[in-house]
Amino acid sequence: MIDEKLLIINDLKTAFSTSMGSVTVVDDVSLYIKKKETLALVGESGCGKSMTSLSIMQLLPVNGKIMNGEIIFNNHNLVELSDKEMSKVRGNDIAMIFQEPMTSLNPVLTIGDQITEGLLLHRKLSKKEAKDRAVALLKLVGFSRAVEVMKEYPHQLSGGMRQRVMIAMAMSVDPSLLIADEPTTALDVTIQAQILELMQELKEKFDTSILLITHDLGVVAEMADRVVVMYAGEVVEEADALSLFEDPSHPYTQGLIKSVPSLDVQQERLYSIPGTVPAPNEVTVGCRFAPRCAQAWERCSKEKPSLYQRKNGHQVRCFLYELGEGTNYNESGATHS
Amino acid sequence: MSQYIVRRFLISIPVIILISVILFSLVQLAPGDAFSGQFDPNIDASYYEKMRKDFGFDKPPVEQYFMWASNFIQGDFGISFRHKVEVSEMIGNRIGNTFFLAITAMIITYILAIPIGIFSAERPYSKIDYTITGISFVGLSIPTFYGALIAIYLFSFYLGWFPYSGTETVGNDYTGMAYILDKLHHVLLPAFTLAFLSIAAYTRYIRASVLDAKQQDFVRTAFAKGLDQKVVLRKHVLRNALLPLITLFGLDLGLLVSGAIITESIFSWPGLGRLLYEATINRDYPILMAGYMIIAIFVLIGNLIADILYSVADPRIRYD
Repeated sequence: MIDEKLLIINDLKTAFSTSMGSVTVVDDVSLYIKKKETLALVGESGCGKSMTSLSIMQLLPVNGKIMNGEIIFNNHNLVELSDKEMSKVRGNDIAMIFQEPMTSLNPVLTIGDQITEGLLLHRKLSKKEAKDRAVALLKLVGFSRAVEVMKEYPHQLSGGMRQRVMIAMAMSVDPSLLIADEPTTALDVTIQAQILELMQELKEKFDTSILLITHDLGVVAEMADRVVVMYAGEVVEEADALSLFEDPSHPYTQGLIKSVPSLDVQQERLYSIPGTVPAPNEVTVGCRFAPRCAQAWERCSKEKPSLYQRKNGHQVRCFLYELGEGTNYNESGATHS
Repeated sequence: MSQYIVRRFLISIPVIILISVILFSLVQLAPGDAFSGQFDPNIDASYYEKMRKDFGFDKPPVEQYFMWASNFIQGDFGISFRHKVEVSEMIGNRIGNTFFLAITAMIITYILAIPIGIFSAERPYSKIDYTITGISFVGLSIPTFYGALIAIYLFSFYLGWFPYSGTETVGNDYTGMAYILDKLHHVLLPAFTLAFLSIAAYTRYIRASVLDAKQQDFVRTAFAKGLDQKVVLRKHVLRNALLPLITLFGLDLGLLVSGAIITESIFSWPGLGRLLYEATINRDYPILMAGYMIIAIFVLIGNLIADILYSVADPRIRYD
């Protein structure tokens, strides 16, 4: 079992030092990604999903720091690697694409320069070989005029095209893990579908695992094999994609799914979860979601729930599931769907 | 591109004309004329009138302007009222000195400010960064005349490293290398004094620009590729951070000829700044008009050069 897991994160704790003291943004997060699997990390803005991915890459902002935990990738604990060793992993074994294709490419370097950069660094290719590979990659991601695009600058391409360039750049070194941080959020819907399709295609071609960070459940449904839901820095639910949509268990996950507009039902207003995400520096005693949870009772604000097992590796951080598989602890909570 | 340059040149012509009209009006509006205070008050008023007539001061300002303009276009800058010497000759004698001082100051500024600014931005909010920021603010706050006096006291009188006036050692007929070294020896102190303020300003500017570039998304992309700190700084951060310097460089080119009135005066540096200052006091119209027109033309050329350099350095800018 162990050998098929590509990345294992155990009890990761990442904190920021701010003027108000240390603020924990990723709190005891544990997750794993199997080989050739797409894991979606879901949650709203500020829940710590991006910081989890930047922790893996060790590209945290200067005031961010991994306080605790381990990140095992290919039997190495990335947390313990030196800067130099880590830069051999970055952009080589683990590649990353970002949310903003408009600003993620350097405006004064050509597309060709930027794609071949990683190849020249990690693959020890000659300039000619790197260039040929870059052209091949651009063709692969859908540029018919790849040779010309090599000489163009980012501002000459549209957002969707730039994200294709980012994908070509990330895949150029044939990484075993691709971290995609909201890769389609900044794109319009038709382009989104194309980019997702492209990622799926490349994933199969290159046998890459993907850590997909998103707040878009539509993207999750389309792409993910398994899903980890985060709320306020913690994992609140983990399940395979099918179970998550069929049997969302955590009240927060239920709220998320409920707030997706549906074509089948006439709705005057979209559902939204009442309240807002707690600020990261807010000290909470009990369940972090309790203040916004319709099903919360006394215990929820006094004690912190741990992750309870349901069937098939489905885990939920909610007292409703404390007694085991699918059982509600509280009668009043039975109304959830 | 060449089309753009031609177009910019053509646009510059009405700008130059407008500048000349404004300059001429300002000079005319200043009370008094070249003879103010030059005559014995007891002298016969008719003589005074005759002199004014001889110099054309009795004519309406519009007519005077056209007289000046037609001469100026033909390269005749006129004769200084006070010194009775061709203005072109006077400016020609001074402009080289002004260039020499200003270019030296500019080179000193770039050589020091760029590395210091980058160094500071590489260690933001550290002790050394705060120290550099502190010194920069001192540099920005010290008036040139005071800084110049301190420099003279310290480096000329106390340490005796540099001469404090003139452009070369009087009475020495140096040739070749010795001549160049003598010139450099004289220029360094005023150039450093002149550069001190701009080093402070440029350091602040470059620090902010590099810090800003470091926070851009594409820098994170570069790190995500596995590039190390040095390569990211050189290839990704600096290329972007130093682009705006081109604009400042263009402005500096314009300032090359305007001279530094205070620095030139304190170091007895025979440059254009001092000449214009004296001409202003004496209402020496021909020198004033010619001097200010040359400055205006240089400012326009400096801006044009900056625009052209920008289009070479930044692929996002195209002028065709």
